[in-house]
Amino acid sequence: MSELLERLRVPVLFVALLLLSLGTMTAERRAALARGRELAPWSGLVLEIAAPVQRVLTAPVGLVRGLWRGYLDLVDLKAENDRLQGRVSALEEENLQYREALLESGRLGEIAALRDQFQTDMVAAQVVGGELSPLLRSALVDRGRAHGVRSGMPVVTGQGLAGLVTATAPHAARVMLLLDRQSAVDGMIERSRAPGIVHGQGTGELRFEFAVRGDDVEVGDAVITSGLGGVYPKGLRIGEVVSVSKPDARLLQEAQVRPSVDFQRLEQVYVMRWRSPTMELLYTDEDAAAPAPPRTGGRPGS
Amino acid sequence: MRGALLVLLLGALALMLQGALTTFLPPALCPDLRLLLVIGAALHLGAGSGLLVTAALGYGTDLLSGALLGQNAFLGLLVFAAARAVDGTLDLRRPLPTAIFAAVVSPLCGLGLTGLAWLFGAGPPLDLHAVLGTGLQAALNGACAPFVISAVGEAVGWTGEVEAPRRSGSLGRPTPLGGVRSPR
Repeated sequence: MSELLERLRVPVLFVALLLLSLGTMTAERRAALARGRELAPWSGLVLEIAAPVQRVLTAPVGLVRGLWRGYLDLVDLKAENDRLQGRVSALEEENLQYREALLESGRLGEIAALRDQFQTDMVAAQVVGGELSPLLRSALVDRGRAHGVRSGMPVVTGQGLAGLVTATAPHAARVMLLLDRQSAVDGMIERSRAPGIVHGQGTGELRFEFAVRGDDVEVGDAVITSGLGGVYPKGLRIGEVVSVSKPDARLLQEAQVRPSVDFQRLEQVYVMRWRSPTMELLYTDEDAAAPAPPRTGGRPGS
Repeated sequence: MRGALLVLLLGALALMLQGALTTFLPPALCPDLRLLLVIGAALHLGAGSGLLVTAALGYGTDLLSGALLGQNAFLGLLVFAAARAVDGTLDLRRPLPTAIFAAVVSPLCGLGLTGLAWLFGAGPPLDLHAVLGTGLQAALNGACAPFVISAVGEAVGWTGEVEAPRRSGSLGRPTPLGGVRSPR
């Protein structure tokens, strides 16, 4: 009898662990559908431990990379400087023309309003961890609830929209990047205002799905957030259209979009301490309980 | 038990190292150290302790990444079982079979990961780009597997602990999951 029990011990353990993992998946999925997804205190502890360790691990590599870049910069400094001086002059001139044109068209007020909207508090955060699988695209940052970071807040860089905070711990947060296959953002073409949805593909490019026919979407067009859906503020730069496919038989047409953010060199990001009313409704008070836009499941797109 | 704890500690460090590496490299160019450690645990740890270590590493991965809690643990347990089953017929301690096994299992894990996400309504079905991404990582996993798995063996040996399957096995191979040794 005892020998039989001994022989059954491992298979029983194996099946029990499999069932446990299936159970936790089901429970988490249900929780995500019911009230969004936020980390429990015990699981947040894992991020709390991992963030500083990963910061230590990334520091030496970052130092070497910084030195190497510094060396490379020095090599081409003179030529680069001359080129940039010329570029700055050209851009200043171009900028002046744009300002004049905008003033004339009355859109300067709109841009000023947009700027006011974006002038929310921003928290600078260091990216200390990347994704563990090529199938998921998220990043771990070293700022969390203690710094005012909450789930559902947009994450940007100087180049544009980077993603969305999907889980927070006291001193760390997980950000789902635009590239994630579960990411969907309401966007539009800046030039023609053609609306659509920008999907992550798990690769370096995004897919812009739109229903408008004609030449409303062209290669080179800038894609920005539309503000619909209430996750991201309107006007954040997403990327640039690099190719358009318009099969006649399909209702939805597609364009490939190169993100404006260089996700391969994502080192520092800014968390906009802003949540739309929609997100406030989606997320309960994080300090008291747990908020959460579904990182999995529902579309966290705007 | 000391061996299992050491592998668990190595696994935790590997997860953080992998997370740090992917801030500089595309994820597809970083070997899946957790997967390799799970294979190593299957070959060098006892079935019971190995299963527990595998589940713990899986849950750790789920917490650090955005996967559903239990997703990587579930797949890790299947990989663990597969490694022990395959080791019953092929000697996975030799570099070539190890590399092939790791390279084959990696994309299957990728498929499993997206399949589970899709099954639970938490993600879209797998697309070609994602398959290519896992393919590249699979090759890398295959190349790294002999070294990582050998290191796990060394680490377990360093603790001075001889795990159950190695002690009882006439050829030093772990028994299959049920503890019943396949005829060789």
